[in-house]
Amino acid sequence: MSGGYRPSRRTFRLRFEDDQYDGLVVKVRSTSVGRLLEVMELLALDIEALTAEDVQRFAGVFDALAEVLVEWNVEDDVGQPVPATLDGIKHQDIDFVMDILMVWFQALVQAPAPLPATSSAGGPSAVPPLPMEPLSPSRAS
Amino acid sequence: MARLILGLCERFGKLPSEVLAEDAHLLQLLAIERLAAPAGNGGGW
Repeated sequence: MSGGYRPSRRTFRLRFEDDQYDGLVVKVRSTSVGRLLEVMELLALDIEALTAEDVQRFAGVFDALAEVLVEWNVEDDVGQPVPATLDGIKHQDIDFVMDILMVWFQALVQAPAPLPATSSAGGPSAVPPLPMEPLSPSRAS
Repeated sequence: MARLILGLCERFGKLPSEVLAEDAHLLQLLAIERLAAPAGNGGGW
């Protein structure tokens, strides 16, 4: 018996508004309030005046994404799938990684967009503003 | 950030360690609450 209890985290399929990411599928899980605030603090570092220590800390941003990245369909230059791991993330363009992080933040902390004014009252909306899936126990390991 | 964490501790009667371990969904709930708050009464964090 392992003894401990690990709370399950929600998973999201991120929705990218930018046309350049058409076809991109990224599934990430949620995180704790503390971890999210840590990452937000890292992203607030002054990029123009980074010290060596800052650079090391900033690498924590990649670690944070690797912790929550469940799957993606990113391929390398020769069409091979890039693993959804820290190593796979490190081989991506920094702007791409930052865009994923920003959409992840939004999915986690922003209020869902309001339903359209034409929406009928009382019925469930056809498409939830933030698609979520229950995290299967096998993925929690 | 400190104000946010301490405010949540006070609101839920929890230690900072407990608040920080909570799912980040809590922050989304706060955002929704702010949207629903009357003008001038929604900038709590």
